[in-house]
Parts: sequence; structure tokens; C-alpha cells
Amino acid sequence: MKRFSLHSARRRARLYATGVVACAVVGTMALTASGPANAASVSTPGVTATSISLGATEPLTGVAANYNDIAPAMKAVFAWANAHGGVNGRQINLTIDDDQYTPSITATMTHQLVLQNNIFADVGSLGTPTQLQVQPYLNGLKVPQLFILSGCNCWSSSKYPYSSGLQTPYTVDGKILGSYVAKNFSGEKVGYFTQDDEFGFDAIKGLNMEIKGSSVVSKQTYVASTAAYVAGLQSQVAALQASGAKVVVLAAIPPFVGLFATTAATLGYTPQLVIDGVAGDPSAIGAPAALTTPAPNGQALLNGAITEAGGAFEDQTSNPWVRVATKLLTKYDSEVAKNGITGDELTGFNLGYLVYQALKAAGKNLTRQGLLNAIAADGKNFANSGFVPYSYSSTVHFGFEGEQLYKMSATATPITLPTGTFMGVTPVGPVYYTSPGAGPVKVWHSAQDKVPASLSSTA
Amino acid sequence: MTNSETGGLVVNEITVSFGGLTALDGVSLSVHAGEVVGVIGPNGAGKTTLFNIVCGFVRPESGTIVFNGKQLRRHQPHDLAKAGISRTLQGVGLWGGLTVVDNVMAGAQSTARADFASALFGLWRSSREESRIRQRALELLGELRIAEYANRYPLTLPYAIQKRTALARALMCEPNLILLDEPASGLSEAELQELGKLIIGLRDKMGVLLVEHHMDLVMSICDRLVVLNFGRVIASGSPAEVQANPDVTTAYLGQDIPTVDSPVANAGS
Amino acid sequence: MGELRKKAQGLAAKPWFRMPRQPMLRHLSYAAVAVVFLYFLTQKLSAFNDYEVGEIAFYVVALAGLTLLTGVNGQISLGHGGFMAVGGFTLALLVEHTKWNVVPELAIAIVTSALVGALIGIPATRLRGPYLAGMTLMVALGLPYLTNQYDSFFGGDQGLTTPQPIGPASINPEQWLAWIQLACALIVLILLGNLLRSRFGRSFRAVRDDEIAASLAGIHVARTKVIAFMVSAGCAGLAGALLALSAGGVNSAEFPLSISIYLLAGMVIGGTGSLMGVWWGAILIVYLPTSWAPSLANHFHVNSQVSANLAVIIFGLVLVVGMLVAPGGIQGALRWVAVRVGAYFSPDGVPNMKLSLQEAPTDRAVHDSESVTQADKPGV
Ligand SMILES: Nc1ncnc2c1ncn2[C@@H]1O[C@H](COP(=O)(O)OP(=O)(O)OP(=O)(O)O)[C@@H](O)[C@H]1O
Ligand SMILES: [Mg+2]
Repeated sequence: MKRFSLHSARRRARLYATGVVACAVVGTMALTASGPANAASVSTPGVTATSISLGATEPLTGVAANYNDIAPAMKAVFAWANAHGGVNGRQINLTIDDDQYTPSITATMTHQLVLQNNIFADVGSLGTPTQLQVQPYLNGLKVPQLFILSGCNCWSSSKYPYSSGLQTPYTVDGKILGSYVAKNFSGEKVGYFTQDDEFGFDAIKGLNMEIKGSSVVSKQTYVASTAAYVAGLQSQVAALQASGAKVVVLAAIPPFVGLFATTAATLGYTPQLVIDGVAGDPSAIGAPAALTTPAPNGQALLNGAITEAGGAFEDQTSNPWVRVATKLLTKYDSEVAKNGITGDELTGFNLGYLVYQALKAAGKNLTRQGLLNAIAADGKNFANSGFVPYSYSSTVHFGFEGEQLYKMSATATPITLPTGTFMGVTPVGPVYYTSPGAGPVKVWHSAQDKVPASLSSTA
Repeated sequence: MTNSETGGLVVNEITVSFGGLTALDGVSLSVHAGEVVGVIGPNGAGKTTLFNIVCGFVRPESGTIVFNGKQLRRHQPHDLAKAGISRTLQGVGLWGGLTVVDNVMAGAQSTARADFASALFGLWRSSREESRIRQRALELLGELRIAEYANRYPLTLPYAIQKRTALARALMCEPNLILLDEPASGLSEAELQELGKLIIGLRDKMGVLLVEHHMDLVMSICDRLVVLNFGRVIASGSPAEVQANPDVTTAYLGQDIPTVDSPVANAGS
Repeated sequence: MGELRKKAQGLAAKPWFRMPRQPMLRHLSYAAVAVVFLYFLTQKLSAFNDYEVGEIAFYVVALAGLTLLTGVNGQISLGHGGFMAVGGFTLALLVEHTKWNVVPELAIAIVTSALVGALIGIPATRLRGPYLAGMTLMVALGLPYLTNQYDSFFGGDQGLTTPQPIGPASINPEQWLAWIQLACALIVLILLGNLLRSRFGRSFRAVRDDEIAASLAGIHVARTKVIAFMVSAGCAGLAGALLALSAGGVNSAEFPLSISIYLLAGMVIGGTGSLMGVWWGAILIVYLPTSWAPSLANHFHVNSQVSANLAVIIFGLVLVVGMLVAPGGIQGALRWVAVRVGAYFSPDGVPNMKLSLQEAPTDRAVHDSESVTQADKPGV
């Protein structure tokens, strides 16, 4: 009995000893993981006499990896700026961290950017769930979280003044499409096909402000997952068909718009499609092989579909912004040099150039609050490729709040995709703008900004 | 030390069926303190079911169970130990993840008083009780002469040791009645004899209800026998009476019923 | 060598110190050592590393709870992310509506999630294996979804803010937070250690191994399972609240299904049922997806779709290979080595070696297929 207890005690001691070893390993690993943080500058974190450090978390890999060409394009703009003296004499250093579109990883990466990379601001990070995850943290430390690539209404909130979005709010998208539907298809039965998350919810908010509730006969949703894509949309499309909807508004990401079109075609359902700006780029919709020529393809139904976009498409090579972006990125972004420019890279270019202008406007004496003040004061004058001005103000923290409507058309110049060709688009009507709130949808009369000479001469 | 004559288990006219199969049909029997009662019968006769009824795993369609003058109705298996009834299982039913001594200690669950908070915060109230139970379990293991295995994990041990561990666990709650379901299965002749002595030893402290196929053992240690066949009691009485009953011979068609005078003592022959 | 061995044997025969036998005292003395160590560790580390240590600490809390439920009590849970959400949102709501100190807020987060755990645990007592997994999966998916349905209360997609607690000015906030989280982890380990050394721990294991035998021994099987569920959910709730403090806020996307799955994998890899093994699991959960897998992917230039899933792939591989090579997880493997070394130096040469080796497979993850057949067999 004595022997028993002795052995058992010793065994337990061993057991716990290994526990202590575990602790030791945590320690050494953490120690070796990285050295201590750089000493923060006394004045403004991330800003020295000669440099500004910025950070971004992006889905470089994972489910949203198709967006992984945006941030490098932004970085290329900074490379261009640095090659031409930087901003106010400071070089811009951008650290891009991969968050795999996973909120918990975004949290860790953002902490790393703030605590270890000692960033001045987080700019152009992508994703609604991912950026929501770090919004309180960044705001708590008063680290600007600017130009977020997401159209969630949540970026403009008095609770989090250091955040601001870049993409047109989904509610604005919805309102503009809704007003078009109300005007051009009045009296028709309307169906919704939306993504079952904030994107869809916000879009419906906007649609409902414009479209009479009584004319909406069916609301179908889908979950944005690989599994749902594989499972198909038969039931949703069939339900819309059964409801007799003659117009279907889609707030969906490009692959699901394509899948919707092919599914409807096989079921013999031919409603008028009205597609949210998230899938406004026809090259993204047309990407699946099923949609490109040579047929059999789902193009027939998409022919005549209404879409919307906030700026020029990359294949509109006569557009001066597309030209200057292509020129600059070909020089500073190896990916563009190799494969030509994409819509995302155009977005990244626009983003980078906005950040550049914001930093410049904030002046030599750079502080975080100073940056926000400068954008609020000057933002509407920042030159960019959007159809409407950058709309950030001290109260509204959105980027763009306008869209140009397009019609997909078999007679428009087709676009070439890796899988084949897909129909192009022609503009429909004027540019519209509105706020996510109750206001009306208005026509924007001014033309697109001119490319500043300072940019076109150096790009 | 022993219970009064009125004490013990009285099973009265129990009937139970599973689907169409009547597993027990008006079965009655009683076990008093200080008595070893054997239940025998061919496979599927309903012996284990009878145990399950007593333990509350199976509810009878009719009939009553009275223990120490109190009727057991809607009782749950976990109430049993507290009531003073213990049972070993037809396999061994030991917990492979607990050491032998822990297995046995768990048998004292019904007497443990330490509450959740004192266990969580490791208060003396809990740890003292633990030492007490451990001491008691080790003593019991000593009595059953398997103390040296206290710290081993049971499923790697010889079957006989496992069986004893299970018995020790059943004895931890100091029952008035113990139900043994085939305690001899898988034991060697020598082990069988030891078991016989052990069970006879239990008689001083409690009543024993024994289900067993080993006729040698049953005949030699039981005070009374109840014979089940197709869920009915076809005979009962002293081993000698049962053996003389022609119905029993029919039930065990083709099976020799051993004679009474081949007790455990000369089971080796 | 022989000299050393003799010396060591002498020491072992007559230990120069002995840990207290009383569980609380013993566990406190281990904790005291850990406190000293962790204090110096966090002092040395950079702010970001302190933040990571804090993350490890709250995953330790969650894993300790899960290992109690799944490893020790045999109930599988894919829903621990959901319980973490309950804890996180409870804390956030308290922060929003009260001006209390973080300690009572954490305590209430524990209680709330334990109560939700009871709600789930009561019907769960009737379920096993895939059915239990399915039901707990609903928790992981459903609870965060609920917060979206009542968005005025739970802050909608934006969620609620949980500011990082600020300590004395001389201590940087990350270090302060890491201390809070480490303190919670140590307290949880001490308390669960006590519990497992008590009759409750014995009951948890007994119920896992054989419910019928447990009930015959006087163990209230359903109650025991519900208690395990509550304790486990309480731990998950605490972990969720601590995660919220790290993140600075809570929202429905913060507790995705992948957390629940990482927890399960982390628990198995660390060593199912082992309270100390949870450290390994927590380290893996923190470093694999954010640090190790990306650097591996970088090093081998794997394609982007593979690299994002690399952490999951590695988790899966380690899980499968680990189960084959070291069923006791990392902690089990370490123990195996420790026992061999210990046996070499012990007074009687090779005592207990076999004995201690048996420890490894005792706390198994999910062996319910076995218990199903046992429980459903008519002639028990
Ligand atoms: N839960 C149950 N559901 C259905 N049938 C059952 C159940 N329990 C027992 N039975 C049936 O009842 C009959 C009696 O079974 P029981 O296990 O009591 O027999 P036994 O006398 O213990 O047999 P053995 O000697 O093989 O242990 C058998 O036909 C058995 O199949
Ligand atoms: Mg039987």
C-alpha cells in the first residue's frame, strides 16, 4: 500500500512536470517567434521623419483569394509614390498580411500590425466579417481603419469614428437598382435572390425603400459556401419561377449569379435579371466555362440583364483612368506586367491613389486625427476613377455612394476570358447616387474626375 | 448484524414481455438476509431480465417488488445502492479507464457526501472523504486478495481478477442484498472453489441472489433454488428437491443435472 | 552512467521533497511554480507575443473544459464555439450595461454559459455519437445566428464592444490582459484538476466507460453528464469572454464553426482527457493557422488555395498520424518517454513501466460506438 501511493505520487509528479515543460515551450516559442517590438516613436506611431508604415489584412489565400490582386496593386501605387519622393518626404511602407478571410486570423494579424509592425493606419483591408472583428480594437487604440473594401453600412458609425468603408454601401446598391426596377418594370411581379448575410440584408433594405412591398412575390436566399454552390440552386430558382416573378433582383456574388443564370436556363425560366454591383463586373460573372462561348452556355438569360458599377471597367481601354492605371501598374506590379490588368487591380490602384492623396492632404505634421480631419475636409476633391466623388465627411464614413447602370448585351463588344468570350456591357442612363439612409436616388451630372497631370506624367 | 427475518427481497408475480416475447411470466421469489438463493435455467430463460427488473432497468407489466418491507416502484438503477442492493453484471462491467482501486472506490458513490463545491475547490471535506473511501477500497481489495493490483487498469488483468474487482465494487456500498449474474463464468476450477467460499462468506452480512450456469457451484452453495424456463418458475426449493423434479430435467433436455453431492470441495474430480 | 543511475535511484527511494497529498494544496503548489515562470516570461516578451500568450491561455481554458467533457466524460461536442459565443456576448452585454469590474463580469459569463450548457446537456444525455455531434453542431451554428436575429440587443453585425481592461499605467495593456487570461487558465486547471481527483472525476470516467455499471454503482448517469456539460460549457464561456477581451469586441462572425473544430482537433492532438496536454493543443491552435502554416506555405511555394487550407490539412494529418502513432496525443507521448526514463532511474529498475504505459489509452476521445452496443444490449 505504501508502495502504491509512492508510485502514484511520483507518476503524478512526472505528469505535472511535463505540464511545466509545456509552459516552458510556450515561452521559448513565443520568445523565438519574434523579437521585441520596435520602440514606438514618441510622437505618432508608425511615422518617422522618413517613413510611414501602413498595414492591411487581405485574403491572399482561402475562399476569397480571388481578391488577392487588390492589395499588391495598392502597394504598387505606393512604390510609384516612393519613387517620386514619397509623401511629404516620407516613404510609404505597406505590410500586407494574409488573413485567409478568417476573422480570428484577422484579429491576430491586426494585433501584429499594430503591436509589432507599429503601423500608423490600417488601409484597404478587405471583408465585412474580418474587418468587423478588428473594428473595436483599432478604434479603441485610435488606429485609423480606412478605405475598407466592403459595402457594409457598419463602417459609418459614430461608435467607431476611426473606421471608414470604400465600396458603395450595399444599401445604396439596392436603392439604385430598386429605383430602376420601380421606374422601368412597374406593375411587374418582382423576386429577390440574395446572399444570406449582411450583404443580402443590406441590399434588401435598399431595395425595399424603392420597390413596393406588394409587388415582391418571392424572396429566395443562398449561403455563400462551396457546399451550397455544389448543391445548386434548383429549389430557389424553381420557387421564383413558381411565384411568377418576371423580374429577379440578385444580390449575389459572381459565381452564384452565373449559377443562377444557368439553372434558370435549364428550367426554362426567363425573367429580367437585375444584378447588384457586387457582381457588376461581367468578366467575373462570365468566368465559369458554362457561361462563355462556345456554347452550350447561360449567356442567353444574361443578355439584357441590368448591372451596376461605380467606375470604369478595365477593358474600357479608352478611359483615361484605365489607361493611367494600366501604365503605372505595368511598371510597379509584376502581376499586371505579366497578365494585364484586372478589375480588382483597378480597384487596388484607385485605393492606393486615394490613400496617397489622403496622406498628402494630412500634411507634413502627420497624426492619426490629422489624417481623418484632412480626409473629411478634402476627401471630395481626391481625384479618382469613380463616377461619383469620394464621399467621406466628418459624419459619413463611406467611400462611394453612386453607381452607373449597365445592360449586358450580346451586341456590345465581347470580353475575352480564359474560358472563352463573354458579352460586354453598354451604359444605361445617367450615374445615380444616394445615401444608405432615407433620401431619394438622384442623378449625378458631373463627369468622371480628370486624371491629374502629376499622375499621368509620372506613371 | 444480519437483517430481521422479515427483511430481504420479495418478488411477487412479475410479468414482463418484450414485443411478443414474454420474458417473465408471473415470477415470484424471495431472498432473505443470510440466505443464498440461486436462479437457474437455460439460456434466454429470463434470469438477467429478472435482475433488470429488480434494478429498475426494466419495468414490469404487473407484479410487485418489495425490499425490506418497502415496495420498489419507479425506482432508478442509481437509487439501488443507497437502498442496499448491489449487483454485478453478466460480463464484468468494469471501467477500463479507471484503475482497479478507482473502480472499487466508485462503488461507494452512494455513501459519499462531499458536494460539488468542495470537490471543485479541493476542500478537506472532499479530500478527507476520498482518503477514507480509498482506505476502505484497499482494505476490501486486501480481503479479496487482489490488493497488489490496486493501481492497475482492470481490462489488462486476468479475468478472475476482474471478476473479483467487480465483486469488490459491488460490496463497497455495504449492501443488504447482492445480485450476482454469472459470477463463475470464465473461471477455472480452482478459482471456482474460491468463489464458492467467498459467496458463502457473504452470507453472514447479506442476502445473495445468484444466477449461475455452473451447476456444481449452484448446487453446493445455494440454500434454495428457483428454476426458470421460458420466463416461468418451473420449480423451486432446496437443491435436492429441485434436482429430483422431472420438469427440471425436461427443461435441461440433454443436459445432465449434476448430483447434489458433488460440492465445491470436490469439484476438481 | 551507473554512478548517476545509482544516485538517482537513491534520491527516488528517499525523495527530498514531497508534494502535498491534498489535491488543492498540491495543485496550488504547481500553480505557484507556473506563476513565477509565467511572470518572467510575460515580462520578457514583446507586446504582441504577450497577446499571443493570452490567446494560448484562453484556448487552454476552452480545451480544458472540452477535454473534461469529451475525453473524461465521453460526450463529444462540436458546439464549444457556440458556448464561447455565449460567454463573449454575456461579457459584452455586461460591459455595455454595467460599470462592474471585469472579475464579476467573467464570473457571470461562466454562469450564463454553464446554464446554456445545462439546457443543451439535458437533452444531450439521451444522445450518443453522431447524434450528439449533430446536436452540438447546431449549437455552434445556431447560437451565433441567434445573435444576428436580435440585432438591436446584440449589436447586429457590428456586435458589441469589449474594451481591453487597463491595468496600472506601468504595465502595458497586452501584458495586463495576458496576466488576466493566464490567471484564468491556471485557476481553471487547478479547479478542474481538483474535480478530476474527486468522486466527480471518477463518476465522469465511469459514465464514459460503462453507463450501466455506473448506474449500478449508484452514479446518477444523467446528472453526471449534465454536470460535465455545465462545467465544460462554463469553461468555454470563460474562454469566449477572454477571447472577447483580446478581440476588443464580439460579433456573430467571431465564433465560426472552425473554432469548434479546431478545439476538438487541438484537444485530441494535445492528448484527450489530459489536463496538461491542453497547453499543446492551445499552442497549435494559436500558432498553426497564423504563423506556422503560412511560413510553411511560403517556404514551399504552395498554391494559394492549398496554403489557406494548410492549417486544416496539417491539423487533419497530425490528427490521423497522431492517433496511429501516439493515441495519447502529445502529452501521452511525453508521459511515455518520462516513464521510460523514470523507470531507468527508479530503485527497483523496471517497476510500473507497463503499468504507467496503460495510462495513455485510458482517456479516449470517442469510443461511444462501444458503449452504444453495451447500453442497448438487452441482457446486461
Ligand atoms: N431489452 C430487451 N428487449 C427485447 N428482448 C429482450 C430484452 N431483454 C431480454 N430480452 C429477451 O428476453 C429473454 C430473456 O433474456 P435474459 O437475458 O433475461 O435471459 P437469461 O436467462 O439471462 O439468459 P443467459 O443465460 O443467456 O444470460 C431472451 O429471449 C432475450 O432475448
Ligand atoms: Mg443472462
